[in-house]
Amino acid sequence: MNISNHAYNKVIQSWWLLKITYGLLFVIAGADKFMHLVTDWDEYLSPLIVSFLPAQVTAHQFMYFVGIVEMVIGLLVLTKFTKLGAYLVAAWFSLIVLNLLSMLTYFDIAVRDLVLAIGAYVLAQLTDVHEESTGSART
Amino acid sequence: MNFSKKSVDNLQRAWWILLLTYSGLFILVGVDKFFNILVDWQIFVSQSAQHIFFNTSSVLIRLFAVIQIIAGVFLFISRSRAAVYCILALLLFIFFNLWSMMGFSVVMVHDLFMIIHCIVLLWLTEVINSLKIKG
Repeated sequence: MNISNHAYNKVIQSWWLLKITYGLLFVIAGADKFMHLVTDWDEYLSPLIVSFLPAQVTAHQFMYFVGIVEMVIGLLVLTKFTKLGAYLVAAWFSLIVLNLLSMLTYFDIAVRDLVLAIGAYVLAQLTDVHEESTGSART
Repeated sequence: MNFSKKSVDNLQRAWWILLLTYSGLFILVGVDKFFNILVDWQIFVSQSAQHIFFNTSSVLIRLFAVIQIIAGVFLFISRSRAAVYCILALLLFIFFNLWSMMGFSVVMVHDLFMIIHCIVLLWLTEVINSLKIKG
């Protein structure tokens, strides 16, 4: 199907906007797990998850691990592994939603995180479109 | 530019997902402002917003809830750019309200992403409309 250059540019702009913002969000939020500038992240960790941690690992230390995972996922989104990164972001947010629901307190944040997971899935769909359009442009 | 059927399907899926998510979200949070199940929404009303609306935060929240429900239904029914602009305006209002309070940084980040999603929805609506016109 033929689409105008204007419409094509809108698709590519959408893809870039989501790619950059999700990538940066994960890198920054991951780094902040070490600094706690945005918020005290430990308070969002469910006691249920803490109960499964080995005795030597505190909730605070576990958040360092979470931060590293988030930074790696953010870098995947920002590099050429955007589609994989986007699916990981969606899965990661889904886990955060389950973590929050198990606490029975942050229902509004859980709904917002679910929306962010959906946005990441949209990024994965647009990455498919972008890859195919740039592939067809090269050939 | 030529798009395969798969790409067009992906585009339409992305557009539908955002459209249904934001219609559903605005109806859900609008209705919840009458029940306060997700959260006690009054905590998000800034002093300046209260001041403008005569210190009646519960009335203000219910008024805002009705506007949110109408915007959500309008988006679902019309699927138009005008409806997305309404959602975007409400999200910007929420963002500046939270910003004036300086206490809900996590919620503000979420709201910022919702604004970004709406900008994407706005652009994709334009693309989908152009596909419909071309048949």
